[in-house]
Amino acid sequence: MGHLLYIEWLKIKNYRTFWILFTLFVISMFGICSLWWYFDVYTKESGDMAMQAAGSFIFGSFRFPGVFNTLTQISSWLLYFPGFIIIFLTTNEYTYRTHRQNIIDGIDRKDFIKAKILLAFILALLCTLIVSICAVIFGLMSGSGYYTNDILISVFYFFIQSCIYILFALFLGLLVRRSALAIGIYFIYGILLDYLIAMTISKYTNSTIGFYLMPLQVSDQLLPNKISSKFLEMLGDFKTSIALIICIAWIVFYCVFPVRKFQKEDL
Amino acid sequence: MLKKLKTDNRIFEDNILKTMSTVFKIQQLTKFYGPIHALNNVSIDIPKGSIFGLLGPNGSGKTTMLGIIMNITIATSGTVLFNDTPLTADGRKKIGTLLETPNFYHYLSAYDNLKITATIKGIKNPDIDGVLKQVNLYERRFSKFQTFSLGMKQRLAIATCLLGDPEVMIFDEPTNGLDPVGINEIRNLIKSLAKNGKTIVMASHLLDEVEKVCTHVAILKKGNLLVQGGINQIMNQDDMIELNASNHDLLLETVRQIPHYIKHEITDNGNIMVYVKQGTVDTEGINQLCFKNGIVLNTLSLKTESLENIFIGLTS
Repeated sequence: MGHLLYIEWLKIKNYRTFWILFTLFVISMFGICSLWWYFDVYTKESGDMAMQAAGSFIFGSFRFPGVFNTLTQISSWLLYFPGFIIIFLTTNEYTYRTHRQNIIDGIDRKDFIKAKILLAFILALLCTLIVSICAVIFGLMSGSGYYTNDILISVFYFFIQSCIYILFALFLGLLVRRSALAIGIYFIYGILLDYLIAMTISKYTNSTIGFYLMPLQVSDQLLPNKISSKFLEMLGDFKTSIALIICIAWIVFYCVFPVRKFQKEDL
Repeated sequence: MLKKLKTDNRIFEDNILKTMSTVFKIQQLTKFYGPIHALNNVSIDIPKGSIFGLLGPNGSGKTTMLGIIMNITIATSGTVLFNDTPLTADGRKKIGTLLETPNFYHYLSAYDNLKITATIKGIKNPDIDGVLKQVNLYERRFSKFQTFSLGMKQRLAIATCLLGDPEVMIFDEPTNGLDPVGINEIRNLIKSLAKNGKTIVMASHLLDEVEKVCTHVAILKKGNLLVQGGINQIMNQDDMIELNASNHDLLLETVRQIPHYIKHEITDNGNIMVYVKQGTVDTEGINQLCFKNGIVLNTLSLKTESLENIFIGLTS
C-alpha cells in the first residue's frame, strides 16, 4: 500500500495543478471562515438583535462545539477543489495514456485503481484535518466553549461527505476520461442535478426518499444547514443513521465499480 | 562460398536456438473486437536469447498480440506463459517494453518519469543517469517531457526499456518518429542488446532491418499466423542468379545446363533469373559454362530472396 502511495506521490509532487487547487482549497477555507467570523463578531458588537439572530441562523456559531458544525457546512462547498484534483489526476492517466504504461511497467490493474482510491481517501482525510485545524483556530479565537461528542461526530460526518464527493469525482473521471467534460459534469451535477433529481423523486413519492438515494444529497444531509433541515422537515422524517448507511453503501460502490471496470476493459 | 558459410552459420544458429528454452509460450490466442477477429487462435513460441521479429501489414494483429502479452488488452481466449508460468504483473516488471507511442507524464521531467517507472518495477538504486546517457538524453534529464521532440520522446521510451537491465525486451516499431541518425542509433542499440544475449521481440515494418537482425520471425495477416520459425527456415529459398548476354537465345538454352538447375524466369529488364538448389550456386562454373558455349556474359549476379519479397508473397 505504501509503495502504491509513493508512486502516486511521485506523480503529483511536481504537478502544478494539484498544488494550485489544493492551495485554493486551503485559502478559500480560511478566507471564507475569516469573513464569516468577522461578520459574526461585527453583528455581535453592533448589538443589533435582528442581525445577530439572522447571523446565528444562517452562519451558525463560532464557539466550541458549534464551530465544528459551522465550518464543516462551509467547507462542504469547497469539496469541489479536491474533486477537481482527483478528476485531473485520473483523466491525466487517460490523456497521456500513462495508465497503459503503468500496467506495462508491472503494476497490477487492481493495484492501479487501488492507488487512486487510496489517494481519494487520503485527500478526504487531509480536507478533514484542515477543516478541523481551522475549526480549532476559529473556536479559540471566539472565546471559551466546551467539548462534546458532537465535535467528533461532525468531523466524522465531514470525512464521509468528503469521501463521497472525492470518490464520486474519481468515478466520473474513470467513466468520462476527459478532464474538461468530467469537471463540467461534476460541477453541474454537484450544484444542480443531484439536488433536482432528489427533489423530483421526493416530489413524486411524497417523501424524503430522493434525498436518501442521491449520493451528494445524502452526504450533504449528514451535516445539514438549518435551511435545508427545515425544508426536509416539511417533506417528512429524515434519519441521519439511515443516511450514514446509504453513504457508506455509495462509498463501497465507488470503490468496487472502478476496480471491476478497470480489470475487465482494454486499455 | 561466402553465401554457403553464411547459410551454414544460420543453420548452426537455428540448431542452437532449437535447444533453447522458450521465454514466451503464446497459446491459442484469440481476440475479438466486436465482430472483428483481431487474433485467430495464434500460437507462437519465442525462444530465449532470440531476436524475434513480428511482422504483418497494418491491422494484422501485431500490436494486439503484444498488448495481450503486456496485459493492456484482454484476450478473448488463450494464454501467455512467461518462463513456463502465466505472465503476471511481477513477470512484466522483468520485461522492458515500448508499445506504439511513448506514454509519459507531460508535466514531469525525463528523470522523474524514469523514476516512476523504476519505482513501479521495484528497481533498487536504478541507474537513471546511465540509461539517459545511453539514449543521449542526459543533458535534457530535467526538461519536461512536453518540451521533447518526437524523436526524444521515443528515445526516452527506449530508456525506460533499458531500466533495470531486463533480460527480455519488447519493441513495437522502435524507430517510429526518429530521424535517420536516430534510427541508426536505435538499430545499433538493438544489435548491441542482442549481442549481450537479451531476448528481443520486435514488431516492425522495416523488413530489411528485421532480416538483418532477427533470428526468428512470425508473420501475421488479418489475425492469422501465416508462418513462424527461424529466419533461415523462412528464408530457405532456392539460390538465384541473374544473367544476361548479347546472344539471349543461346543463353536461354545454356542456362538449363547449369548444375542443380530448377527453373528460370525472364525479369522485367530482360535478364534471365535462374533458380538453382540452395547452397549449390557456383558463379565461376556458370561463367566457364557460358564461355564454353560461346556466350560472353554482360550480367552475372547472385540474388537472394529478400524477406520483403517473402513477406509480400505471403501477405498479398
